[in-house]
Amino acid sequence: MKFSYNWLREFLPIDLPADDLSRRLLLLGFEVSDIQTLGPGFEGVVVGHILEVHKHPNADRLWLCRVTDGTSELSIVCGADNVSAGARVPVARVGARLPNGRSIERAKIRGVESQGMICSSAELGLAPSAHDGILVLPPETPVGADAASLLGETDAVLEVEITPNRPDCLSHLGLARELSIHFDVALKPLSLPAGIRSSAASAPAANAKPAPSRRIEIKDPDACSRYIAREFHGLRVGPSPVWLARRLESVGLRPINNLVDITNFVLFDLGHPLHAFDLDALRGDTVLVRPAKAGESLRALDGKTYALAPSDLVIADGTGPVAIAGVIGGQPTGATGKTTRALLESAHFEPASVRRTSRRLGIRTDSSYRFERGTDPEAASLASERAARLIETLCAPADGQAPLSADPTDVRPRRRARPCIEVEPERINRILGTSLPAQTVAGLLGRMAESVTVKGATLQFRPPSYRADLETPWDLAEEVARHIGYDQIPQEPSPVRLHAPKPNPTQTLMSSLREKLGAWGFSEAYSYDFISADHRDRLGTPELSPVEILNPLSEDQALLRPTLLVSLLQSASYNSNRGARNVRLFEIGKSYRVENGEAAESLGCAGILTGDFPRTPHWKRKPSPSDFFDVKGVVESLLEPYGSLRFVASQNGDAACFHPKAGLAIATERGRLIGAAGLLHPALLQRWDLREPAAAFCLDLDALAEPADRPRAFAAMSPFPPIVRDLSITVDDGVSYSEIAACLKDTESLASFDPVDVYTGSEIGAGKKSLTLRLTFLRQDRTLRDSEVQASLNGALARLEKACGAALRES
Amino acid sequence: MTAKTDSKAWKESWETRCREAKESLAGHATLEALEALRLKYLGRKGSLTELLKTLKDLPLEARRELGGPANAQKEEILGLIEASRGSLEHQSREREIAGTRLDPTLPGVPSPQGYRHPLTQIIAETADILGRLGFSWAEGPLIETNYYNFEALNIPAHHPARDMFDTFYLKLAPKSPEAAGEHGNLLLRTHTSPVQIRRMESARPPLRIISPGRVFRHEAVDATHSAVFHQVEGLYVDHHVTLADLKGTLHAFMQALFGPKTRTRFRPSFFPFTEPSAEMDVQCLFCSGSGCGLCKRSGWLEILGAGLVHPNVFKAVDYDPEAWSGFAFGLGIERVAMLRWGIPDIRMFYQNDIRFLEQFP
Repeated sequence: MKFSYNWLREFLPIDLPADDLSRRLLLLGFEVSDIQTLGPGFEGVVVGHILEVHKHPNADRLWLCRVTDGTSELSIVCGADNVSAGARVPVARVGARLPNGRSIERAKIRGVESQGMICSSAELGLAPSAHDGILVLPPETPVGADAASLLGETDAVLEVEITPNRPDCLSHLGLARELSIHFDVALKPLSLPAGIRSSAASAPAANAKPAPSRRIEIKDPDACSRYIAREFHGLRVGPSPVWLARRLESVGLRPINNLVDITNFVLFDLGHPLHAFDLDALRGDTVLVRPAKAGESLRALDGKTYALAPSDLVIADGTGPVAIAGVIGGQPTGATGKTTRALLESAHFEPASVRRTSRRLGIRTDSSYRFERGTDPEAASLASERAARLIETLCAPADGQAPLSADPTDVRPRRRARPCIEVEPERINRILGTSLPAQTVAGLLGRMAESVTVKGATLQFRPPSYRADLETPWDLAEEVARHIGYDQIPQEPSPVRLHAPKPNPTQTLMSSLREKLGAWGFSEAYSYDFISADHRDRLGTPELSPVEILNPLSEDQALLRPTLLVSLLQSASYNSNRGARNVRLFEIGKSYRVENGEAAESLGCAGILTGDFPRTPHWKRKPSPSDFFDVKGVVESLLEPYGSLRFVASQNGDAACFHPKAGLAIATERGRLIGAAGLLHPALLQRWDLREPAAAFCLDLDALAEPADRPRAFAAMSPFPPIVRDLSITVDDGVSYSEIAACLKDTESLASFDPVDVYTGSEIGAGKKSLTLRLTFLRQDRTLRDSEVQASLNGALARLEKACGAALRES
Repeated sequence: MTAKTDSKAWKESWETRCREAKESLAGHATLEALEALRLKYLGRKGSLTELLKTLKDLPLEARRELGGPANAQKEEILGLIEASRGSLEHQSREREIAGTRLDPTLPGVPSPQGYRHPLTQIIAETADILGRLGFSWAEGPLIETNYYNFEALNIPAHHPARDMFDTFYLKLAPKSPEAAGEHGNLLLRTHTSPVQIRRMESARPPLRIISPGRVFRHEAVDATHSAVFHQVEGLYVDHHVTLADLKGTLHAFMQALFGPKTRTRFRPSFFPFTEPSAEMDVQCLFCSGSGCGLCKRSGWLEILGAGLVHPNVFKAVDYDPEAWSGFAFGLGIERVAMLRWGIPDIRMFYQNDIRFLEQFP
């Protein structure tokens, strides 16, 4: 909310500069996001000296003045009675700008040219002088001086962020009250605003009061605990005086008319929303506060028509709703320039009810903002009273007859009794970690309480009606801390107690994956969880049903990613479009699917390999394209701690993103699918505009984080030397390596074997391939003899011949 | 031949061969020649070796007389050979080194190197610091219910504090209706605080947890706002925990994160789930408090939100607020990373531009 520094000073005798005030506010818990300085509101106005005054040749009540501004003489037409030769006066020369937005031009008034304007206080937006007419300055005022620097009122406007717990500070009085507690200075007594203080001296004599013409009935006392109506007769609704308009403009409001402006003024002044109805537009003799009926609607002051629901509280006349309670008034009953009789509402509406309606209809007003945060039911009468005084003064018709106001009708079906908060000062100290003397605590709380009673060691704190947020000793502790200053809270060393943090298997797994993938050249990606329907379509996996967002930021962020692969494809494509075609990226994060009608999220790790690796060409190590075996190797190495895994052909789930011939699902020994890896499907690459083949993997970390194997026991290394033999065989192309490996597995004394060469070509013959296997023989108990190794080798070869049709390749 | 003549002849022969060996030792030029020489004289079938074997056929007296000096001479020759070998090897190495042709200014072969995301690094760092203060890592789902995200955290339905947390809702509702609340649907958690509730529900105090993770806010994305971001949140519950404990812990945390000279400022704030609530600022890392564009001329940077756990939060998890007290705090990871590295736009964290990612070794 915007606060005018000058306005605050109407309540509080402070002369702290606005910058310092803003720092103090921050340390009290009110962030000031901006400070604007407002100029005097007019420019081009100088001090003039009236040389001569003549009667206007063509008008009885006008004067023709010869004025000097120190450098030149001007001829100015003026209508004020107090104009006299020799006076020093503010002169708005041609080109001057006045606070109401008016700029002075050369004009002919009744046939005589006027080269400017002699101004009144009101015309300059200043506090009016005791009498009407032009502002007469002291005779010693230097002629030609800039009137703005002499007279102009400057102001600072502070944009203060009032937290939701402090609706009592959503007004100038409220914030001034908070500061008065903090600085321990008394608030000034509430008086009429400076702008009209002097003229209020001539307040109307008490005329015969009209009797209230409307009955007030509250049908839903839970939603409206108080309603004060006050009727006014004999109003003149027109533009507001400049001081009022400027006040409203300083806090960001647009002046509308004096009646509406007064309600807005009181809202920013005291924090209590008001509404003015045109009394003659209200039908029937009763004003009802009731839930809306189904089918009812209201054309509101914003020009829109709202369909109402029974959950909305409305103000209704004999024909139907005339306002949405606490939110917005109706247009047909609003105050206009023609209004002469008005009904002023000052009510208390329940926060939740106002909030529900304001949300539902999407209407946020200064009024609803305050009601939904909570207003002070006690302040309703003060606000009504203050508005009445202003209306009587400012809405008087030109003939000087002040408006008549009826006695207020105050209907109050509910009165909330608020219990005292009982607290020992020691309790406050225990919360804050302070050692404040009891008197200090009692004194501080006393400044903000309705009343504080000392009862032994206990304080009975009665919260003021505007502090609904104070309910517990913790709330009072915060008040004490705020006002003594959080910088006065001691800084205790962290309450360290020997305490071993519990290990977290998921985090351990994630760190280990990050470490390994980092070492293998993968950089870590972080992606948004939101994807578009187009992204989903480009994945081409219709069986992955994504979770939908009810209120997405935009249509292209309406779904949650069903697989991490979609994020990596996006990232690869992003990089590729920027010339980086060779990337290795991985991401650890959540993906989301609808499973059995429920939203399921799962933690995964996925990686993508595009183009060549290493990423940059090197004179010695030539990059090579990433292929199926690169990604398979990554996955095998990653999963090494999880024991033996099986790679199985599958096109389900994530596996559907992979090349049908060069993609595999990964399963545990028990057959649980935990991921997939391989080359990405060529159609997918095309849809994502990736020109190079790309490989990828994805793993389900929820499955992997489950208790990993116990640490495997140490195995003693053989002290005997290994014997290494290469075995080259030829088999049919269709024979898989896994079949060959199966034959070798049980070979006597064979410690390990690795395929070291795979060759197809004319030497071998069509439909054949050759494999060279390096076999390492080793025993734990003794040195092997060559003859034993040869026998094992022969046995293996015999099994290969039988099971795989292998033939020993002569080399 | 008499024994005497034999001894004499043996001695002459020995000395001749020794002399020969020494002479040829001086003349050789290569390691190979040296080895040939060694074999010729002192190998298994070398002439000195052979002769020395015949010493045993001489009379005892001659053996006594000749044996000692002969062995000494043999050792001497061996020593000379070894010395010569050392010198030749040295020369050979020197030649090899001198002959090395290499441009050492060519770039080395890079080891494969990937990079942990800057946000991971900050999360790890904060978790490490807080781990040393005894906090354990706790996790929770990103898809949450109204209850855990709001109600249990003292943010009732229709409360204006909800405005602080613009929320993404899913089209799906939770299966159990009691989890529904104001808005029946599931939502994406707006803070990591639901983890506090879940943990307190399943464990008795004392507790010390952190819950780093991803959160979501329904707000328009720009250079400083992201609909997806990360928080690290801490919760400490024990007997007699005070605001002063919180202040001290946060100060220590900030000094560990931003350096031992970091100055902090503790000031009031509002969060529905803490009372009293606070924020901690650190003195601007760039201008050291004199005021710059980054700190909006204030000299301070907002970093942490915190407070003592609200009694209503304790009531929601069935902890007695009179018996237990605690504090909670949270900070935005992206903000710390942006400050740490001077990153101007929060969206960079989520573009995965390899040129960005490779800047954070």
